[in-house]
Order: sequence, then structure tokens, then C-alpha cells
Amino acid sequence: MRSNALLRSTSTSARALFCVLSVVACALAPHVNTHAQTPVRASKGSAFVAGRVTCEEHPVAGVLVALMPVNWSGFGPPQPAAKATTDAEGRYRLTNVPVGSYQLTANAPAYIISNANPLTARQGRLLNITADDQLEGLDFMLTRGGVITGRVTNAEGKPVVEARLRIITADEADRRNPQYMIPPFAFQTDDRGVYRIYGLLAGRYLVSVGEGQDEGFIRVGRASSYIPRTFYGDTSEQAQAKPVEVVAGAETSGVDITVGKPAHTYEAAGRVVDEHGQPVAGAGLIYGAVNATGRFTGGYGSDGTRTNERGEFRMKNLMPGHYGLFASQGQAFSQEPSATYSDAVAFEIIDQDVSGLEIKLTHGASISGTLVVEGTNNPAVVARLTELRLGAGTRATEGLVPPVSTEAHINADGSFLITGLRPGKVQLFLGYPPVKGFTLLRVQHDGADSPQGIEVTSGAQVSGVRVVVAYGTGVIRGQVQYPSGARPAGARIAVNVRRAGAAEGEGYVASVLVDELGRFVVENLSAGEYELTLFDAATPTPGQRRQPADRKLVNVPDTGEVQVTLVFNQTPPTQ
Amino acid sequence: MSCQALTVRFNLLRRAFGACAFLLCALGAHAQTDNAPQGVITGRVIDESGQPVANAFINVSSPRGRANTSSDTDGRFSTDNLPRSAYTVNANAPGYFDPSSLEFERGERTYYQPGDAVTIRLNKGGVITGRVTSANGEPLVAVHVDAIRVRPLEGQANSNTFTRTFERTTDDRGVYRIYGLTPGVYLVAAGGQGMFGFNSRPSPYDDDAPTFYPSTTHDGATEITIQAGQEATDIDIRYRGEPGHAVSGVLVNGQTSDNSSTSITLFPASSNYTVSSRFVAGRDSNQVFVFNGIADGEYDLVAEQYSRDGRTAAVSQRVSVRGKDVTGLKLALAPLAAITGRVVLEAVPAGAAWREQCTSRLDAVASETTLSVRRERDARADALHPGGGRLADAAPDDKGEFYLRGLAAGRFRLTVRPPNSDWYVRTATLALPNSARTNAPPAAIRAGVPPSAPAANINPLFDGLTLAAGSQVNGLTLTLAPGAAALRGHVTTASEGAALPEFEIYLVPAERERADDALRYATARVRSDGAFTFTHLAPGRYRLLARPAPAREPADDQFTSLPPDAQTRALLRREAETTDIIELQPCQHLKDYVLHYTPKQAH
Repeated sequence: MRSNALLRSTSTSARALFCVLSVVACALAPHVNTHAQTPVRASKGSAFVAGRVTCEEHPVAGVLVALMPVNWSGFGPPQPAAKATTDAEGRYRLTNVPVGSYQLTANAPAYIISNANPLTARQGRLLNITADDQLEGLDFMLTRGGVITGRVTNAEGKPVVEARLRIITADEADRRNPQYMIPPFAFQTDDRGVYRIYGLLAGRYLVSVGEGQDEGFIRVGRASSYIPRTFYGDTSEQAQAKPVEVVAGAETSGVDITVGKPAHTYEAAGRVVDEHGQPVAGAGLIYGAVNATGRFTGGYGSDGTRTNERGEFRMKNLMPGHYGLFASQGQAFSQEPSATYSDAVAFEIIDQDVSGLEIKLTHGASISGTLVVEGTNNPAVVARLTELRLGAGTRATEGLVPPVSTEAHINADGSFLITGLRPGKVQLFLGYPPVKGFTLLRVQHDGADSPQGIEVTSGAQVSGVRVVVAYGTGVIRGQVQYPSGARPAGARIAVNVRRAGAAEGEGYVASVLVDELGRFVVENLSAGEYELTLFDAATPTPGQRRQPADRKLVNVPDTGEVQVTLVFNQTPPTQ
Repeated sequence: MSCQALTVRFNLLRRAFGACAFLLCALGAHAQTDNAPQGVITGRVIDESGQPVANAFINVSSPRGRANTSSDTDGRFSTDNLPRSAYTVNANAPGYFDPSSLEFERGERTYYQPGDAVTIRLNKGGVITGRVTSANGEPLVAVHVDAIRVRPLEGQANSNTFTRTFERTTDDRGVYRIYGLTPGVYLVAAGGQGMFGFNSRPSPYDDDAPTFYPSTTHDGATEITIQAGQEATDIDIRYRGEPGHAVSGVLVNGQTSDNSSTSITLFPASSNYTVSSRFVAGRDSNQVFVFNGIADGEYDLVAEQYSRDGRTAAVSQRVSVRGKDVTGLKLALAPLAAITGRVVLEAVPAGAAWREQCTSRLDAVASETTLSVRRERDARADALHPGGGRLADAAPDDKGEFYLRGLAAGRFRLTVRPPNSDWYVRTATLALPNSARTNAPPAAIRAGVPPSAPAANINPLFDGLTLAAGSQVNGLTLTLAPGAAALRGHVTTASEGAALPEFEIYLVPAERERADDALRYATARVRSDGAFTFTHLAPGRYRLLARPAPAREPADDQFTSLPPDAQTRALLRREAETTDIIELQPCQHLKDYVLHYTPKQAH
């Protein structure tokens, strides 16, 4: 279906920046200067990364190139470890780069990076920088993105202000391609109802405004009416939507959408009671989207609704759809431990308010014990145990279960108490934020290891649990060799790390991606033997089973680094 | 999170009410529902042509708490049951502004009570649009552009001024469009990290000092006047791209174990709009703040810590940026002071003949009173911004007890707004401290009476209260009585047609036994048409005096004006001795009083 929108070339005053998409198909394989396949080991000095940003051979100035740390644990958005803006020649040089793992990103919002690996284009190019790296040729090839613009009005012709746009590819096969994934709601209409979406990869798109039902999002907010999802073509059916053609460097205008009357939202009311049926006042209500199989789809939130003195609540402004609702005794999302756990109640809103929901907060079981570190007596390490958080969650069995876990902190003497546990098999894990160097080795109860979890019955108080963690600063630095000469196009090469000798399905330690230069690093390992498995983490085509490309055992010392080389042997897929 | 409008930051005077601190929005979602809620406030939101505005965000607030709701497809809304208090009601919707914000700025406020129905008329906001280009004409993509409202259309900025910064980013053509603007005078600036520094990705402009329209620093910026609904186009900015500097440091004592958070805001020293804001969560072990892209100049750095109870600690520090980064700042929050007390409403005398004269409700309750303290301006040119505990508002609870909290150290003046026009303040007392009665150290209270006096009461309404950091002054008792009178009139001079100087009118009690009761004195400023109004007056006999007034800031609000100090009172009594006596009965509203002004021969 051709869209009847206008296609018009943009004209900018800077011809050097205007790139018409010619027939040149930029290879999707990463374009890396062969000199950089192995790092140049020159004289000692701080690391640098340099390259050039071009668009169709023309230099692009003013592009910010940054190294974003892969593991960011600070508050707020990640801060770059190094950044530089390209000069008039399109060149950049990032100097004094500290050792670490980074995503190299080029921020040019009106462009597409055409030499990016489509699977990782959105995050950037992974680089594990070592102290002597002097990396040249980390170039970015850009193409000018396309633009979609139009106006959203209602049936009376009035503009719809701050309507958020959603764009998905018209061709379903492309929808799994991350390069085509535009963050939903990143663009919205202005006071005239006009919107402008830029920086799009060429292709065919479906443009819509409004909210659909049961899309897996939940809607937290106060708007009491909403616009049902309406696609370009003025239809609510995705199958009927008119695709919009986007050409690189060109503007597709007149993509106007007329929306119908806003739809009503509804209320869900009920009570929160304890296990004796007594009302619970001041309980917070949390809700999330539930899918067809009756499971939370992942997103959940709270608008601050709390029960009154009679334990009653009223949740407002809910769109039709399937919901799961649960309660929290303390502040919603707080880190404070709670003595109770909540049921989850599923309900559906069709075209009227729902009432009579009842959620039970039950006094939960508890697990207490001690957390110890194995393999070191270093008082500095032992002192850091109090930074750890111990998380616990009961393995979901059947029915709808709130997708939350509880956390407890570790006292100075290593003791801990986890309360509010649902009966069942409880798994313990190290919670957030992670503390570098610590990994969970095993959990012991009644003298035996409990890899499947600790069985707790309703309201039980289980004591004497021993959680053993390991601390290590050992590092594995690896290099992957590609017999074909370069990393295969569209691949996402990764390495799994397991404790050697662990039983099937256990002993998992970490999974790391291999960077653009074929390098990977695994940090904070405690001494021991580990099994490394190299594989392509890209989603395989259906019917294929992924085979590991290489496997090796590595002995890691207490401190310091060990080097390993893996070879990416591509084995034919098995049926 | 349930908070709206991430790209707009309010810098209203009413921050004391717990304005939407970013992390605390979900807490403020409900009206206080302590005992005996008394009804709902309903209403409708419409636009200039009378059409309903759906999904407008309605804010109903009193010092006791706030209730938020939204309008339905007919523009109608209703709150939950609200406790009795005096509420302000305003709304916002994308693309519109609420004209009540302009009234507020002029010192006018309309209050509503549970049971009232409100019609809110939103007007289309103004628009500023243009292009941002580099020195050689290339468009700048995804750069932040701020429209900063610096003052109202008429008059100078004062502490009431509604400053608000609207922020958008440019598109691929370098074009920006900022809409929904409240009428006023604006500066437009491009560049920098944006108001909250919350960029999803780093940009080439993060560390730049802002470039003001048309292509200058702040000092040379061209102002843009936006009338109601006006669109200013071609506001093009030629970007300078000059690097700004970093202002960074650490919050020394902001760590808490609860959900408190601290906002750290940078204001230009001579203005009250926000340059940039950061937030530090109390639980975060990293209490560092960094502002990038700060141009040379003088700034006030204000940190305010908020918990469930509102603002609990604050600190303000002057920062000079001169050609290099300012690092290593250490902000130490100081606890804020509070004033507590009681409001008592006297009973209406049974069988009082004047009851029928009274137009408003005599069944008012103490919780409908509003109290307000404001810190007196320091000797040095004080910053206009309200940050750091310069003011607080409160309303009594159902027992009549109030709590004015979140106050910085300094000298404060109290103003009282009785529940309605039929009530006046009869007494205001603060017992001098003795160890059994109050917690406040003696130095914290500045008495208007000599220290040797026995436990006499001082009048905080005009003598002022000096608060030490973190202190708490208890025992402020305000007694309100029914039967308030009002007086309206205008001033004439013998020389008709000559330009009238600015006048103040003084109301002086005529009864001898009231000569020392400072609450019986009142001051009103004469409007440009010569009219003046006194409200909330105790019945009795008065004399009126008109005097040219020194030029000063327009009154902050329509609360009871400040009575003059003891020395001035004696002066006024002498001057007024020969004027006519006006007798005001309970609930009498005397209108059209004409006051002749005769210029004095010598001063």
C-alpha cells in the first residue's frame, strides 16, 4: 500500500551534511580498520580511542563521541568516561581513557549509523579498554535519517496537544531488528497538533497515537480519559494501517491522523485484609499488566493509592484491559523489609467499574542466618559484607504471584533476617546494588547445600541458614580469533563463565559480550577453575539449535590476570 | 511516577506547600482526611470559547494539604471529601495557562471551601519559536532551549513573581517551539545540559554556557514580551558555543534512612528563576552534585531537603563563577525553624443584634484561617527567590493548632487571614519563655518590651519574631472574634488634577484604652485611582490619616496589612487628633468614605 503522503527532500543550508541515499548499501558488518583487530602495543601511556565520522565520504563535524561505562551504578543517567566532539575533518580523539568496559557511541540524532552492527546499534560499540590501548580507525559511517511529520486532530478539527507518537515497522520481519526500534513516546505533538519524527532508518512504518488495550504497559497517571490507539489511515486496526514510506535524508509529510472521541477510564475498588480478615489501613496498591496466560508481563507501578482506615481502596483512571493487583504494607517500592506478603488478584476492566476486589496480606515466613565469605580472612573484605543485600524470592508455582522479591541487609556480625516470605521454595541471591567482587557460592540449610532453594512453610521461622559468598579480584582477559578473518555479520558473540565441575544448570558466574576487537574481560573472580563457553548470542532462526563455538577451562589465581584465547569455530546448525 | 511535566519547573512562592519535589509526588496524592471531612469541591474546566478541557490537571490546595484530580471529557471534576479549610484551585493542561496565576502574582487570591463549585477558564498560552544555528548557519539538532519568564507584563519582579522555565529541544532542522506560555517577559537561551541534567545521552552542548537570544550572554539578552496567546516567531539564536564551567561539590549531611531527598538549585544572584536543578536522594551514599555549562556570574546555590512533613532543612550559599570551575563546595544543611501555636475563634454572642448584618458565615472554624510568615529582607540586596525557608504558610488543624515549619534563621513577620470577612484578629500573643512553657531559648524571641517586664505578651504581628537556626517557638496564640467591619473609600486632594503622590492610609483607634493595642492600627495602600480598602477591622471608633508613602514593593498579598511600630503609632495618634472620628459597628461595611488630604507645610 502506498501512502498518499508527500515525499519531499529536505534542503539544508549545509550541503556537506546532506546525504542522499544512493544505491550504496552500507555493509552491515562492522567496519573496523584492520589495524585495530589487535591492539597496537606501543610504549606505555594512557589509552586512547580515535576515528572519523563521515556521511557519504563527507566529514561530519560537531558529533559527540563518547565512551559510556558498561556497568553504571551511580544515581541518574550514565556519565561518559571520556568524550570528544568531531572537528571540521570529522575526526575525534578520546584520550586518557581509564581501563574498563565501554560502549563507544556517536550521538548524531538526525543520522543513522550505517556501519553499526544492527543488533547492538542502539547501545554502541563494545570496547574493553586496557591500559596500553591505542586504537585508531574506530570510524562511524552515517546516513542522514528520514523524517515523518504530520498533524493530529480530533473529529472537530481541533489539534490534539502532547499526543505521543508510536512508530513500528510495517514489515513484521523487521520488528525484531533493534535498529528499527524507536523508543515509544519519544516524540509528541505540539500545541498545533504537529509532530516531527527525525533520524529514522529508511523503511516502511506504521504511525499511531493513543493507547491500546493489553499492550503490556500500565498507565500510571491521572488522565481520566484516553485516546484509543489510532493509526495513520484513521483506523484502530494495525492490519488496516497505512504504511508510511521513509527515505533517508527526505521528509515524508502530511502523515495526518484524526482521532475519535476520547474513551473513558474506570475504577477498581476493593479491600485489603490480613489473614484474619481484618482490614489493613495504609496499604499501598501496586498494579501491573497481565498477559493471556495470567502472568505479570513485567511492568508494574503505583499511583500512590493507599487503603483508608477501613482497608478500602479505589484505583482510578484505569483503561480497559487485564490487570494484576497486589498490596504492600510499607511504602510502595521501599527497601524496608515487611513482615507480610501479598496475594495478587487478577481482574479485567471491560466497560464498567470493578468492585469487590479483596487482597490478602499474610504474615510471611522468615529466614535467618549468617553470611560468610569463603577463601579470605582479609578484614577489609569482611568489613564490606555489610554493603551486600540479600534478596529472596519464592519460586512461582501456579497462579498469579506478585513479581517482587524482598531484600534484607547484612548486619555487622554477618547475620541477616528476611521476613515476609511466601511459602514454597525460596531462592536467595545477592541483591541490588551489586558490590564488585562478591559472588554467591552456595546456600546451606541443615548442614546441606540447597541449590534448589529452601523449603519454607506458611509462617515458618527458618533459622541457621548459611550463605557463603566468594570474593575475588581475579581477571580473565580473553581474545577471540575468527578463522574467517572477521566477526560474522549480525552476530553477537558472548562468553559464558561457569565454575568448572558444577552440576548441570548450576555454577553460573557471569556472561560477557565480546567487543569489537574480539576481546572480552571477566572481573572479580575468586580463585578456582572456570569453564568458558564461546557462542553467538544472536537470536537463532527458528528450528536451529545454537552450538557453542568453543569451550575451554581456565585456572584463575587469587589476584591478577590470566589470558586465554578462544577460537570461533562456526559449526553447522543442527536440526 | 505520578508527577507530570518533567520539562517544566515551578518556582512559585508557594513552594512552602511542598510543591512537587520530583521524588515526592506520589506522596502528595491525597487530601488530608483527618476527622470530619466536610464535602467536595467540584467544578468545570473550560477554554476561552467555553469548550470543555478534558484531562486538565487540577490542583486544590490549602496549607493543610492538597488534592489533585483531573477533568473528564466534559471538563468536569470533583475532589474527594476535604477537611474544612481555605483552598486555592488552579488547573493546567498542555498548551494552556491558568489566569489565576497572574492574579496570584498581583497579590489576589480566591479561596474556596468544600461544597463550592468552581469554573476554571484556561487561556491559550503564548508561543516562542525559532531556529538555533551555529556560527556558520548550520542547524543545531537536539539542543535544549529554555524560555525563562523573568517578570510579569507590568511592574518589576518581586517575591510573588511567577517564574517558570519551559524547556524543549530543537529538531533536525534546528527548529524549536515552546508553547503554553503564561503572559510575561521572557529570555530565551539555548545550550547546556537542560534544567535537570537528565540527558538520556551526552550531547555536544552539555558543557556550554547558555547562549541567549539573539546571540549573547545573559547580560546582553533581548527580552521577548508575550501577551496572552501571542506567538513570537523567528526568535532565532546564533549559538556561541562558549564553554561554561562546572559548579560541583558535595552535600555534607544529606544522608538519611528515610525517603527524604534534597533539591539543589542554582539561581542567578539577581533573579529568581532557576538556572538548573539537581536532586540527591537521602539514601544515596553518593551525595555529590555537579552543574555543567555555567556561565560566569554570581549565583545563589540553594539546597532544600524535603521529607514527608515538607521542608526540613536548607542552606543557601553564594557562588561566584569567574573563568574557571568551582569545585569542592560543601553544602551543610541547617535544620529549619518552626513556629507553633493555636488559633481560637471566640463564640458569637448569643442574641447579638448585629448578627443579621454579617454577610458571611459566622459558623467558621479555626481551620479555615490561613497563617503566613515571611522573612524580612536582609540589609544586603536579598535574593528574590523563595528558596531556603524564607516563608511558610499553615492552616490550623481541627483542634485549632498550627505548625509553621521549614523556616530559615532570621526575622519573620506574621500575617493572618481570618476565615472570612466577618472575623478579625482580636489578640495575638506569644508568652515570654519560662522553662515550663516553651522550648525556645530566650535569645530566639525578640520582645518588643523591655526584658525587665514580667511575663507580658508581645505582639508578633508587628514586632516580628527572630528565629535561630533549627529553633522552635511555641505558644503563639491568635484569638479571632466575629463582627469584623470593613471600610472603603478614596482620597481627594485640594489641588484637583495635580498628580497624586503615592499614599498610605493609616487607621488609628480613637478610644484611649486602645491606643496601645497595636492590632487596632491598620495601614492600606492607595490604588492608582485613589481608592483604598480596610477589611477585618474590630468594631469601634477610628480616625483616618493619609500620608504620602515611600515607594516600596507592592504588598505581597491581601492579608491584614502590617500595623506600624510603636514610635510611628505615637506619631500617627498625634497627627490624627484633629481628624473626624468614624464609628464602625460589628459587621458594618462602610463604603464611599472620602478622605481629604491636605499637604503638610513642613515635615
